[in-house]
Amino acid sequence: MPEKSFEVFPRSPKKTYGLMELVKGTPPGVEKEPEDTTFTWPNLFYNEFLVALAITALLLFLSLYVQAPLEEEASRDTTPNPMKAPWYFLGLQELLVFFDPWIAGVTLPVLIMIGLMLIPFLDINPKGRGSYTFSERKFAVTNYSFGMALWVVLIIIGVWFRGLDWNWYWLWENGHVHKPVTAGLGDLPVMFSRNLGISDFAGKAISDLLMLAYFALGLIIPAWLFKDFFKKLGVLRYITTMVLFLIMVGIPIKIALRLVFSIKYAIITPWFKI
Amino acid sequence: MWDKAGIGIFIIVTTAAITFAIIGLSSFMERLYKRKDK
Repeated sequence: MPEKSFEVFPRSPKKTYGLMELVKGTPPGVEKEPEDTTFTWPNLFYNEFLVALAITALLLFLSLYVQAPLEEEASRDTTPNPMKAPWYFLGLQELLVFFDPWIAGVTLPVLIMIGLMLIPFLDINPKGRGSYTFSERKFAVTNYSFGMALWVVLIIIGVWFRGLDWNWYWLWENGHVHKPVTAGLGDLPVMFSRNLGISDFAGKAISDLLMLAYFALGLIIPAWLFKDFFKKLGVLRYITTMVLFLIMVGIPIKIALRLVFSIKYAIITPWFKI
Repeated sequence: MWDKAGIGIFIIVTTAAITFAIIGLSSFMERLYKRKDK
């Protein structure tokens, strides 16, 4: 029996056709039956518009019936302790505890935005376009989820676990009682030089080398373990992805260094401290 | 000391929980849509 053939997009006599551009690669519709594909307009847009309407209605309802938790009028005589930003900024405010203001307030947010903008250029995995998939995009989904989770955790800490003088208060602790002043924080290079009995310069050199080793090993080991991943991405894309990834992982490491090991700065330079 | 370790453990556990929750949701949606396709 001869195979039945049909035109996927029949030529319309009312339209004129022209070649606009030549692009390398395969279109997302390849190997898909016509009944397996659907148009963005109106099918997807229609659904999205309905969701947008529903969310607008919900927000309208919430704003009418739920009272905003506003505090009393601000007074110049009293500064609230702790002074907390709105919840969506508390992640950023929490970062200020662990990093210098310009790193927490400028460098890291800019890096986050640049990283998000770079995703389409760095993620060249063609699988799972237009569908939910974890099995085909494990690294991408895990990586993004981790970054998202980190931001949410910083907000959770800021909202529920910071009390008087921005100290850590567990939920069962009395938030109205000041905590005793504990021993101050130390810098990693100073700790090295004191504990190992070496010069300040040597202590500084060790901490700088540790930081260099973190980035060097973070670049070399994954390339060696996941050769396919490295080959697929290419050198430039791999380095950009991994440097952004290592900076992201470095944030909770820095947080742990301060909270658990009382280390204020790991790297001290005349221009910046991390 | 335990207070400090507790803070460290809390941050690790919460971050991991949220990460796996998002991954789990992603896997769940994948399975749901694959089942629908069949």
